[in-house]
Amino acid sequence: MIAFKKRVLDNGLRVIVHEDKSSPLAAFNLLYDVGARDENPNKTGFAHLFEHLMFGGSKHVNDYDTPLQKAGGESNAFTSNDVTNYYEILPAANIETAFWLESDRMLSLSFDPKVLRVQKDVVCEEFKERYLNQPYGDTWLNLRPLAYKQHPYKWATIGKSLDHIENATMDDVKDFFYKHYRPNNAILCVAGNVKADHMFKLAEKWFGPIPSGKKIIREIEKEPKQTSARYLKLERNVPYDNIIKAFHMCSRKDKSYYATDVVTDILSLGQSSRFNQKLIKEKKLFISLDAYITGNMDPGLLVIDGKPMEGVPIKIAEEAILEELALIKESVSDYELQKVKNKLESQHRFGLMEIMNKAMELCFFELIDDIEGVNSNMDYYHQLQVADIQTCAKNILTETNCSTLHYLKKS
Amino acid sequence: MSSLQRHIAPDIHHIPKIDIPEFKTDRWSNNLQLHYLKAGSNEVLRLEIFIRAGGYYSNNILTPGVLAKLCREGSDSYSAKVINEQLDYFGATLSLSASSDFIQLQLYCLSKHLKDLLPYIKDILCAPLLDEKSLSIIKEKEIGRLNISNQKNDFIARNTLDLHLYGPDNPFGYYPKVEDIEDIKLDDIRAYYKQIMFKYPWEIILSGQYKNSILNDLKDIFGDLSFEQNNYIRLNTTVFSKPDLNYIKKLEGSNQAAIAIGQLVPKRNDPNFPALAFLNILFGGFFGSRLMKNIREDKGFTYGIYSSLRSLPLNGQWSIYTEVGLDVYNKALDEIKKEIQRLKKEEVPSEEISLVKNYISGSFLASLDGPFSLADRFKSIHFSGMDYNYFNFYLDEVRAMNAQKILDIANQELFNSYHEVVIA
Repeated sequence: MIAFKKRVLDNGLRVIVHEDKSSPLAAFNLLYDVGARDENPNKTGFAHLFEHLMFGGSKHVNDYDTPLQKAGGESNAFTSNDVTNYYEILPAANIETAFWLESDRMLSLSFDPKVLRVQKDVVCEEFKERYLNQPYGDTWLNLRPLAYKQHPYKWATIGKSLDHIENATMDDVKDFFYKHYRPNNAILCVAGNVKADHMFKLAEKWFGPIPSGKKIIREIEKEPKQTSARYLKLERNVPYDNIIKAFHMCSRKDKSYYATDVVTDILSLGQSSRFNQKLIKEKKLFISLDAYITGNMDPGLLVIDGKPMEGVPIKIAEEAILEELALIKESVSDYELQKVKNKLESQHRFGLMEIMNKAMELCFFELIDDIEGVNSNMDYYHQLQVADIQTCAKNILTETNCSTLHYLKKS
Repeated sequence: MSSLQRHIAPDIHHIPKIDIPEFKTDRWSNNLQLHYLKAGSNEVLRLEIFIRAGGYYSNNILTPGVLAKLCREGSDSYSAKVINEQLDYFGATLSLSASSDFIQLQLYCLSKHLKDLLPYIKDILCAPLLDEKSLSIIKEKEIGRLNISNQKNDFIARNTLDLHLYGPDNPFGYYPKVEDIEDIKLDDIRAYYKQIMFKYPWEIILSGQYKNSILNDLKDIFGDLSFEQNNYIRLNTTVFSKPDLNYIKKLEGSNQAAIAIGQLVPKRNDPNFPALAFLNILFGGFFGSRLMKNIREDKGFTYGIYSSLRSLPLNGQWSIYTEVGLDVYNKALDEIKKEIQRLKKEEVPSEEISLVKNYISGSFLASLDGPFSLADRFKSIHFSGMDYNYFNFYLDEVRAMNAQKILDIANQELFNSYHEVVIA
């Protein structure tokens, strides 16, 4: 159980506090409701590049990290297709340092041209390190535009290509900042050895004076329903073939999200799951085989991702996957469902051990307009029946809803 | 408008000295040591079992890791399927792996389920099936993983560095080839199991929030084991001392160059180790380090560059790792060397020294958060043959660092003689 208090400042900033006296630390998490889906299709990768710029100095503080490290703290951030999330963890007594630094960079960045120039280079190196110089690294750069034809999920957070990053200008930076980095577009959570009233006062002191921005109305093109199977074959210098099958699913906010999550867990969560037990161990068809969901704010993907063993023809491997997908539509046992629920319950309890994790969860559930869900989302799982799982599998796991990528080793 | 002074930092409070909750140790009549600490507010726990059967003790360094994996594939009483069903049904997570010193088992579960799971854990370790079919699947998966890793420049760079630091007959220098994995014989695995599993007394580390009766449950299960001898002898401890290596390998189709630089240094029980740890942070151990500030934040050559100081059972290792643009790797190497020389010649400004001190105090505090972190800290001293006094010594030494001491330790230890590997 995560107990919390929540207030909304006049400028629209939502502030959540969770007290946990067992930790000597405090976690500070600031989520901005902006991600790669909010980018211009001709300037992709921008939300992520912007995240780098947020560490390059703000209006009154020329270096973000140094004062935080002086206070014994550390920070980092991540960008997804949906959100950009910044976080600090530091000794609880020094929590005000995080308020000072985060509020100053929400007030205004320094917009230093050198920072922009260097961070473009850094992000280009990140692009190479993660997506180009890795076996299978460009999988999602290819899978996204296959599965999405309209919706901005068709590009990755790193961007469509290096030149989109190289072409970013300071005007782009400023426009993006003043549109998206306003208090009314952000959620703050402080968790740890702190007092809620004190945190609300600090929030008012440091964030209260920052003017609100225009309300943002998202005008994102909906992905049209997929009506026929899609297929792409790539050949690369990799040691194993890779089959990826991506099916459109609901959004994270939809209640059937939970059943969809369980479908993939029955297939591949744990050593006793169907994929592990049958296709890896008994039939020896794959060296690895996973099923997972992207859990996006707009309708996401359910993904099956497997590497067939050396010598197993891709056709045989794919048929085995399809057999399992057919089976889950017809047959799920109460025992199997209970097993997955137990596993999820256990994961949930372990997740409660870290204050940073709890702060992120609180911000996330606030974002999906269901802050109580931080405590009740296990109930959503517990309420699921076998029929819910089978119905969900029947709806999603169809040929016409599927994009298949055959990522083959060059012969 | 308010009188908010945004250009002035809020006061920084000294990080309070905290009493570290300490593990207790019971030594049973069979010499098995149980270390336990009750902490945390959630009824979850981690059980770890350490068996001195790692790479140091085997003629074939690959054997312990394969044995560890094979153990969980079924026992005399329970098939792998039954074991995995039980673990998953109870929401538990089990892993077995091998390091240089140990084969180690790690179980995470809700505390209320431990008692139900212990019979399976015991069987996995005490009566494993060790069968041919499971071995062949493990081999295939390992070969798969290796073939994929071998396409990563950073993996190749690290291996090449380690090979030249330790030689191929040391667990830290040995990396298998595909043929080595193909050649593994079930008989050898079984023979090693018989020879080593009950040779030296095990150690169990229990951390989390649990009922005291769990301690008795553990004794009921593992109290009747017997072990052959107390004093262990490591094999495979030779270390190469080849002359300084300058290795460059060009690969087809690279987009980046992976750099790995390394040297051997003293380990944790050396009186200079805290000073080394301090210098490591300053040089390349955190986001505000000299290497990051220069090579990423000023030059934009890389997404990240780090130095890492590890204390291993017989020595320490100090390394620098990064991946940089193909066209700038020579420049990056020059800048790394400049930063090394700067620390040997120029005094570090007091502002920077106090920053690093505060950063270390903060991250030390963070490293004590929660029962599993406390267990990790305990392991770092216990398996280095030290006790909790070390932490006070370490923090005192860090507090006492000054410009002269940094110059001294930099001149004494900071990459005077090292190996350098570039995979481009």
